[in-house]
Amino acid sequence: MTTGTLHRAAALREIASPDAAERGRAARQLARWDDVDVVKALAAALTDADRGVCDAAASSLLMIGTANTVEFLLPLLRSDHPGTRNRAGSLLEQLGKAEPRALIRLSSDPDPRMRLFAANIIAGTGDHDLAPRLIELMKDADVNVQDAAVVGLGRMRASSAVPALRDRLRASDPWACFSTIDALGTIGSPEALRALLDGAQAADPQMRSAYIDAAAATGLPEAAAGLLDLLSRFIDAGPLVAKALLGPLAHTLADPRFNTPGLAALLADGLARATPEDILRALSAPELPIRAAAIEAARVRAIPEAAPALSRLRSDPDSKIRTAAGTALNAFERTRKERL
Amino acid sequence: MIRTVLVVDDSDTVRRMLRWVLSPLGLRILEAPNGALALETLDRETVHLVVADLNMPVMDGIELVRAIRAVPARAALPVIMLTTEQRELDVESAIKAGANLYLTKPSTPAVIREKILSLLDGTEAKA
Repeated sequence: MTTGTLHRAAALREIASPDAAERGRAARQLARWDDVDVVKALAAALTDADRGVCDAAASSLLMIGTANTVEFLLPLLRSDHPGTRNRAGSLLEQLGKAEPRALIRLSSDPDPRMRLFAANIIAGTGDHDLAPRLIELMKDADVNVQDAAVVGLGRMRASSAVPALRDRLRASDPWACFSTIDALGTIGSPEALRALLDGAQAADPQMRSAYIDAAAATGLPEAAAGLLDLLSRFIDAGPLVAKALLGPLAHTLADPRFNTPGLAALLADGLARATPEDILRALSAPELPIRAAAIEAARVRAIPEAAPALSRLRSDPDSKIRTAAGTALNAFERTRKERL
Repeated sequence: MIRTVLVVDDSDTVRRMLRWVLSPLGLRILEAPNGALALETLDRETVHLVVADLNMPVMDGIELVRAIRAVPARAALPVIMLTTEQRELDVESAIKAGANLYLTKPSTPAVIREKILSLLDGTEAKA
């Protein structure tokens, strides 16, 4: 179309203008074409000194989104400027699905930095068909590439990677071990949880804390029972298990099997160092063990602001909660009289 | 006084990892996923040390250090770059921008803790 060609030619001239506003306008207008010259000019504009021009070029490249866009973005990952590398990486995460072969090729680049970018970008595409390549990259010669692959498999929630990740839990390097634990927690499948609970048994106390956090992050109902079982063997894990049960796993405590005095005591210990606001919130929790623990923590800490919530809990559907709330209120009253 | 460390990294995993690595030190840890949000955090919180990645979206680590040093009140705020980038060019850019230390990943938890404590205590020489 003549008019289009004219606009296109003008925009291609204007993107080299000394005026940043003109370059930005040209970068926006060029989104209407997807030929090689336009994509090449827009990719070059990603290195522009003006952030507005870079942003406009990035938006246009996203709108074009063709396979040749991916090819023109790849060389920018070798830029000396972190901003250009990052912008290209972010765009490739969004456009990589248009040309997955280019990402696979990048993942075999002789430069480990490029393989690391490839692992990050593949993960960012969320394309599970590419997960096998990330599993291969877990055995890359460069440890940072291995690590990026592990983190990427977590980001993709690639449950197919659990067996390989489970093997990597034996890594002696704490950095490698932590990223593997974290990836399993993010994947969050029952198999990933099993690997975490098994791994926690043999870990030292510092690493065990990472296992507990990751198991909690799965949010699975089985995680609460698994952590309580772990606690029966490692009593020093009490504060961490309590934190997990009061946080990411709180919803799992609605299960009646958790209505035990032992669990309430553990949770009350966990709340012992919590802020008064946290205790007030816990008094309204739907889960019975958390309400019971919060009543105990409010009584021990003698938090006066808890009195209205405790009064309400005297009408709780559960008789034990009603009794505990009454006891706590009586204790408050005794303390008040003693102070007078 | 509880000292505060701001961890700036676009990777959730790295932020969690640093929180875990630093947990035995009794520090208060704040997090930001990029340089721009880190600057917002610095405007509203008292921060005693920054650990920042180099490659981040929106605002990278070098831009962040430059922005930190552009504020006279933050001229002495210790900043550690913690990154996979090992090229001399990146190291020089970071130090020239005003970073106190440049650590490459993977770094052991012991080294990270030692460097952070040294800078917080003022016993670590620049770069």
